[in-house]
Amino acid sequence: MMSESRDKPYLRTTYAVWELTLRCNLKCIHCGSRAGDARHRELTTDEAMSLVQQMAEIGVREVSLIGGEAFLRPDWLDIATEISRSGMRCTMTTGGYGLGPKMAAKMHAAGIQLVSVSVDGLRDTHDFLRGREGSWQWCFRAIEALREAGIKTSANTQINRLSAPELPRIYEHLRDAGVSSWQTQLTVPMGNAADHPEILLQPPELLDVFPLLSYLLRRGLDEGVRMFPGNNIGYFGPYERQFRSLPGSDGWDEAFWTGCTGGVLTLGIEADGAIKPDPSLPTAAYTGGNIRQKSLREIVDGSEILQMNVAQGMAPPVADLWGFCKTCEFAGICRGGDTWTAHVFFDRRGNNPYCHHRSLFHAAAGMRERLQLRVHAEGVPFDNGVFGVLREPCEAPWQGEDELSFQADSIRWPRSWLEEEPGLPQRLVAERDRSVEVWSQRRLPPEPFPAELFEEAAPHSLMSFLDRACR
Amino acid sequence: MKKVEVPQELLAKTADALDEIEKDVFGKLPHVKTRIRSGGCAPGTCPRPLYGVPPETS
Repeated sequence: MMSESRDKPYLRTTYAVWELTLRCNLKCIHCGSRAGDARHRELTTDEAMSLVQQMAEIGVREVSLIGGEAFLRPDWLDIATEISRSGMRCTMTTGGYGLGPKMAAKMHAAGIQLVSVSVDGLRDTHDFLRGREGSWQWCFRAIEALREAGIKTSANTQINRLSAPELPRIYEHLRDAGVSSWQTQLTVPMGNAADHPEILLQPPELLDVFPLLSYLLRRGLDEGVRMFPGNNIGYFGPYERQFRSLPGSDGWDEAFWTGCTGGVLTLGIEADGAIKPDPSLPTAAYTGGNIRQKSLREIVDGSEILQMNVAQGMAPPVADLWGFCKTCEFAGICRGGDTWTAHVFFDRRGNNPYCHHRSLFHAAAGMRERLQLRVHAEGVPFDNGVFGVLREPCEAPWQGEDELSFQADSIRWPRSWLEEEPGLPQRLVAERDRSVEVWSQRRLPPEPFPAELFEEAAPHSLMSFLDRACR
Repeated sequence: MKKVEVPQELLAKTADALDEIEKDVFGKLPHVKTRIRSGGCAPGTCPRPLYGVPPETS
């Protein structure tokens, strides 16, 4: 069980995620930034050092270095050292390919405190998704090297149709490798992933993903692996507080999703100095300025897009919401869930198809939503296409590309877990079915349902996207 | 940076709805014991992970 010291949460204040370079040694088919080559005119060392000071001055407390692959930038350890020297916590996310003991020792000396290694499946799935044979082995070599160097390790995993069935066994590998925590997030159609809609989970498949995540989270608490479902995993289903809360010695705290915090708690920095409210958000729609033209403080305080979650406030009515999210019973507190996820599906924030409540709602009404790619992405970093939503009866057959369809019986359980609890798969299916039943009995509004609940992807999205693409 | 205020009545209403959901699905409130009506994470105290780096807990 949790030790007393681990019950005390680290209090995140302001958090910057910095893409040091777009250069990468992997070729992930789900990479949102389409990393590979360096960006045109990435920040110079002097500009990077100035940015470190500016982050410290505006109150950033933690900087996570990402890429591409951050360690492919020659001066990256100097930058990491300066971040640490300036009093900020320096952390990192890496693919781990090529990260051995010598580099790990230098990272420790630079003050890097925690490194999250991306593990996106078992060996074959990971190597396929990451586009390089041997990349899975390197993940675990990197974790071992980091641990031996005295750096705390965690892992992060994208959940999609390829990785979802493997989550229990991925968990076992991470546990056995000694990672302290594990973040999961749903793969969404940004960058390269927008070119591979076949690997994306469809909304009704979330109904089987969420009980599995809940089980893994609870198991991890007993086995020393803290699982953190990421910001795009929610919202307001039966596991909402479990996913969002921290367990304390006297029980669980009562946290739940209260809306996107991009620009409020977080900053995203691209390698050429572009500043966004959140690192994952599309460049074109969410860049608030560039530190080559303005100071970080000027951008943070003066840019309209950096203020998107401040100007909006938290109280309903919420201007940006549309479609299902507009009339949802949780609209005022949720504000469409994760902005990144909503935007990359429909090229417009405020209507999020990756929502547990929404999937339960449709299942309770005897329907399901299917997302279909209508407009392809341009092919540049952090871009997106436009999807439409089909609504169809729950029992309609999946078609064509849906041979990868994920469901509860796709899950590859470790044999030892089934020996411990032979009825485990059935228990989670029963939990799913009970949730649908509860939504059917208690959470559907009286008919006729508001029309907005079934609004198609807005013509506005398609038109604005096509208009931009033609310019 | 800035602070976003969450109306207390909205937090309380949401907490009530989640109480109802958890009771209906699980038959009890398995995840909540503190009964603090503070709702979601306050800015500056949020443990939300981002970009693969879960928050430190020790």
